[in-house]
Amino acid sequence: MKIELLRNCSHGSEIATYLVSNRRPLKIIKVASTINGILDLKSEIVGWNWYQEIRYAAMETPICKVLKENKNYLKIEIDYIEGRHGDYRKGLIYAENVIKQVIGHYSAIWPVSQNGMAPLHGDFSLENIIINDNGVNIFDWEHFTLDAAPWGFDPIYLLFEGLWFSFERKKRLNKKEIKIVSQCIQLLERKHLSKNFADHPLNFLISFMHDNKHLWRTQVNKFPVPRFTQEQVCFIDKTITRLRQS
Amino acid sequence: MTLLNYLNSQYEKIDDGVFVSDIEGYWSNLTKAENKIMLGSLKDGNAREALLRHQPWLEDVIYSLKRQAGLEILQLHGDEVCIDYGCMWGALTVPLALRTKFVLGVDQTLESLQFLKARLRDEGVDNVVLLRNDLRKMPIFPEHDRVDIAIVNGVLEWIPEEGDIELKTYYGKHHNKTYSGHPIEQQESFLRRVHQNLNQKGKLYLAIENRFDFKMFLGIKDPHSNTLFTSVLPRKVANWISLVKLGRPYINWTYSFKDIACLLKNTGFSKVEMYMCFPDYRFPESIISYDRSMDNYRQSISIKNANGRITIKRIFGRIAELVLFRVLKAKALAPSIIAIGHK
Repeated sequence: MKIELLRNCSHGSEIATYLVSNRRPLKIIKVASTINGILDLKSEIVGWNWYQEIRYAAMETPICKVLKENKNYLKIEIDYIEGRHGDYRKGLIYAENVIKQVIGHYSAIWPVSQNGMAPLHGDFSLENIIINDNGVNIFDWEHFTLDAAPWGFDPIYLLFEGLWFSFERKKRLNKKEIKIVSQCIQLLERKHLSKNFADHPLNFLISFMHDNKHLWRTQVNKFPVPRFTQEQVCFIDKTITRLRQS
Repeated sequence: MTLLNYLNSQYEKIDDGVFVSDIEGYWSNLTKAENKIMLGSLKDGNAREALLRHQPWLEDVIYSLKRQAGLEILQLHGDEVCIDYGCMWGALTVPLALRTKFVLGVDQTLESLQFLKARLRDEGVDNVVLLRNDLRKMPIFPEHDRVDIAIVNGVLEWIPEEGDIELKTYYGKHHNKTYSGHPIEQQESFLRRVHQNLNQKGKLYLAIENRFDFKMFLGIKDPHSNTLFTSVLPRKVANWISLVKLGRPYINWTYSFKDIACLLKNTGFSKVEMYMCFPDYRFPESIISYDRSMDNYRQSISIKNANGRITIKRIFGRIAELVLFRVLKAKALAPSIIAIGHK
């Protein structure tokens, strides 16, 4: 059995991530030795437990386990999930089917409380999603918080992150891609997405992140979506509203 | 803890609780004067504050979280007794202590150990004992005191070095000097002692630059002598360049993956696992098994330098890295090596 280092405290994280394999990948190991890193891993454990209950209820053994814990050190182990990773690199148009599958998965299982709040994954990026024969699987729960964000926050973040990466690559906003975002928001509106959120989705999302930085501890700056300028935010929100109305 | 009893019986213990042998030495990035000033201010505050006040550039070297990532390769259980050879300021000693039962940190530089002692006190780490000794003259412990883990991190290439070294005034500078031993003989002798001091299931963690790191072919200077191409050239040629440029022979020998495996086999290790480190073993971003595929390889060279500027040299380095490791899978040219030697 071999252990390989996959990521080491990247993007402001204080966690090292390893792959355990024996010819085939078996487990993911995450290690932290700082207060923030340990808190992130504790969120990961809670997140996996919550997700396992609603997504893999039939599984008897926990997907995420603590291997070692002391005051200044926490090491956890997560079952490896085989499948295809989501990928933004070819743009939102290429990823459209996967994104719609993910939105279907979210809409089907994600609960909403009476005040419209829902559990927050907090890093709902295509890179943290695996598609296999069992459907959509979400991982990387380091920012999980129960009932911390308005219902729909995570998939709307995913849509705008995709739009951001396309914009970064092409240096312009593509109307076809904004149309995909708009269609997906309409799908979410059919479930529990609030009207406030649907009317100005990007502005609402960025304001929420700005006002709730504590949910991401040391890592809030790694997220690209808040880097859209105010002008771009207005343009995107107006275009989405127009497309929704038509 | 019988190892502690052994140390008590063999060495004097000075005021701040550091065991000392009668062999003094000095190898530090700081000059003796700088160390004196920094240690002087330890009385007024904690070790990290003293470092930030006097030598802030060293904070990352000593405290960076990235440094400890390689330790997990050892698959530690928590009940191990360990030795950190050449522990300096404790970049690995402290993280190792969080993961294991007991760590003996050994270094020839008393000043580094005094800083580390203060650091251990500040961080509430109570399972580390420190010994000032020449690494080449470590005793062979009685059989029941032998350890589970030996750490040799960035140390093997410095083993042939002799005399006091203030790196600031030595690295890449001209100093006429001769040496009493042959580099590989000294390194082998040291590794044999390390091997002997391991118990039957003991493991060595050896981290070192790859002699054939691809960057050495692209005009990056040898990190030990600050000379061009000395690492990759035949030893005789490197020796000649070093004598002309630095006034001393080329003795900081590094090795290829194959040579490290041979060196460890020759010094008694029964099994050796090799890992590639990117961008280096000190601050690894990824560590990949040498006998597995390169699927988990991620590019480590950024096109931007430390000032955030895109440079031609970096673009070229990134392209070279991509071609060598993503396309050609040229594992032998990986920047650094971690070898796990099993007794």
